[in-house]
Amino acid sequence: MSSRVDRLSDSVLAGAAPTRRGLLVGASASLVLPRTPRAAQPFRFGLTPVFLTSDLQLLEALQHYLTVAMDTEVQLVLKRTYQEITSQLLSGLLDAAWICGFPFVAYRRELDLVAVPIWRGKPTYQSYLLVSADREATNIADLRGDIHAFSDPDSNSGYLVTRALLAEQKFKPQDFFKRTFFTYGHRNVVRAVAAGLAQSGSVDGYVWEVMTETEPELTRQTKAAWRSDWMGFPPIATSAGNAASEGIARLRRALIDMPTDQTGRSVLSLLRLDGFATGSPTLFDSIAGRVELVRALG
Amino acid sequence: MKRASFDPRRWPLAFKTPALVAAFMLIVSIVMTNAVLSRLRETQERQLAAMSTIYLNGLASALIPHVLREDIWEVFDIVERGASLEGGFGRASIVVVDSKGETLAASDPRQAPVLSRQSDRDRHFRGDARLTVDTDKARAFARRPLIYQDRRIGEIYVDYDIGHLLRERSDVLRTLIATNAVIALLLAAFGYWIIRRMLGPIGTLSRHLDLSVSGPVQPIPSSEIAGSTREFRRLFMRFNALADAVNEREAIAKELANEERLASLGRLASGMAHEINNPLGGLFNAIDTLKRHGDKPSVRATSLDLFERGLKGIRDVVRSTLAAYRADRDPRRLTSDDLDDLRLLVGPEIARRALALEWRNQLGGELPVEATAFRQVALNLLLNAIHVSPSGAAVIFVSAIEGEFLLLEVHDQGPGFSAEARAVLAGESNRPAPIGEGTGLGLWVTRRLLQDMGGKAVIANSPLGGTLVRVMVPVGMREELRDVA
Repeated sequence: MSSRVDRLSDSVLAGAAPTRRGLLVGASASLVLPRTPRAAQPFRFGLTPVFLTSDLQLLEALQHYLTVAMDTEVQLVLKRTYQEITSQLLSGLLDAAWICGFPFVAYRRELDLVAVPIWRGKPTYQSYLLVSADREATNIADLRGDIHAFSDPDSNSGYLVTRALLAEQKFKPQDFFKRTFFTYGHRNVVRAVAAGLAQSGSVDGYVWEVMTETEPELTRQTKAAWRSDWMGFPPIATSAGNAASEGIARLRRALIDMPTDQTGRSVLSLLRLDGFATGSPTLFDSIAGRVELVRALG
Repeated sequence: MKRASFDPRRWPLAFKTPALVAAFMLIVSIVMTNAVLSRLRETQERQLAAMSTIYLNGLASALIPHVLREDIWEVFDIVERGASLEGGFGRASIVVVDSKGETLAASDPRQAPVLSRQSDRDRHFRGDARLTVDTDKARAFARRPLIYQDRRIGEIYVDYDIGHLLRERSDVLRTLIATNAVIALLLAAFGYWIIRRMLGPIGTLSRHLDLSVSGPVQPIPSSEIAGSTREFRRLFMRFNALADAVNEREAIAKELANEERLASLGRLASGMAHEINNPLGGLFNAIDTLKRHGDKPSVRATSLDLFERGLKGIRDVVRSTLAAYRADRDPRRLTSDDLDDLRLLVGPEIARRALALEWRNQLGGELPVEATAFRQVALNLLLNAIHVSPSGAAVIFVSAIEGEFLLLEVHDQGPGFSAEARAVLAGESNRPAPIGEGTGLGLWVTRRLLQDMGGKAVIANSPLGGTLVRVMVPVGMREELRDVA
């Protein structure tokens, strides 16, 4: 299991080409939404449930807002993993996608930044090491020998941060933890820790904080044993070749104008976000530093 | 009130029959309850096994791809969703292990943590069994191997809460017990009522038989006969026929007794005529003598003396006869003279049979005993003794007061009483009159008279070599009764 974790994450770290299987799954799983006759090719926008659960109300509102704001047909494409989304984005199957900082950094040359979400006034978020509420733990050393839940091998907060933390002490996850597994969803990490399936988990701090409002009975059974420093929020990215296109410009405008629109505000309210900003790639330097650290350990 | 017996054979029918009905009902209900419960258990376990098979097959097909990839999260996600069962099974506990027997995920990870070994779960199962039921813990344990391309890649263990099945069983048991108890009680009550109703005519019959002991047999009224069943109607009608016959027979016996008394008086009258005839002859001779030699003073004196003695004898006979008749009309107390009169009455019979009568009347004054009845008893016994005595034998008559009793003894040298005569004289009070048996009737009358006086007769052997009849009649008590009257 842990070897597979390495293999998956290493493929990202090495900037490997997406697998054929990932492409096939991605194509078949795309969300088919009504098309408008105005454009021949709809604008394809990728999302993953790693980030938030696939809330149909949210997706409908987002699709509706983008379609109106961009004045073009927008198709939302849902994938289970960041890897699938990243692969499709790199291969041009998607026009843009909401990805994680880790793949953005890993494929920095092939990708370009469209916008960065603003949460609680800043374009940053934290990673949490989650344990059950009744457990005494304040740092990662207390979690040694745990069964540990990661969210996604291509997630910054749900994998890379913890891996880098261990790398600082020359540990690999499979040596430090008794067993690790991926849940492919930050919410699932919270569920796994709350149910006791995992004794600890790596989770997106933003997701956990939002869940304290939406599912307090679940988050109440868990607590953050450790919080990372502030890192660039998972960005909306596009492939470098597509960055100057008319569609991307419209998307960026639509995202940034979101707080000014009724539908846009309801989307932001569902996401508990303040809005979007153009952002700078330097926001993700700390993530790049972690990638370097992990690569150095091998 | 009779004491209750512990011997069931002596219990009243009105109790026994309902008790039997209730006992049969109990046996039937035990058998039925066992049959129903075992059938219910079989059905429940069959349904549980079917449900479990379907459930585990569904789980297995969902789990196999994830178990193959050892995807802890997906296995957990499936078993956690699958653990809450519908249909009252509560929440199942599911554990999925890999081929090494280490837990991949469980619906309750705190009970079965990831990587923990679950080898002890197999102890619930015997051999290759897929399902076992533990009624004590109210759980059912099921397992199913996960087979992929003929290779065993893991196993699912499920335990179900079967509390609702056990509750259903105890509900059925309670319902059966309550229903059967109510039915048994109703049947027992109905049986009691029916038997009481059916035995009602027996009570009527028994009551009428009881009444007949102390008086004439009373026929069952026709209204009661009409209201009874056919069998009992016939029985009642036969009882009434019997009652009529018995009553008629009683009346005849009384009449016969009267006639017997008259007959014995007739016999005595002929004796008396003889007694009177003897002095009469002497008197007529004296009259002749007076006619011819009446002028001689010596002859006159002798004749007058003869007259006086002859008339005295006649007067005695007449007096005793009068006494016998007067007694019938005027009840009075017994005196010693009443018994002495009897000696005079039986005198002719004694003389005719050439018997020797020893007379020991030791009574003095008046006694509170009915004279007529007692005289009749004494006379009957004397006549009986005379009748059975061979010629030249001795007969002893004794009367005396012994404590509270008036004692009467008659000894003879006869052959003794026959068994029938003995039974008539000293036997049960309700024995019927021995019609058509000759002398027996006199004894029966004697016994009836004694019974009226509260006395009794005992037959024993006489020192003379024959029979002794001893009669005891209480004296004191009857005195008071008479005074009251």
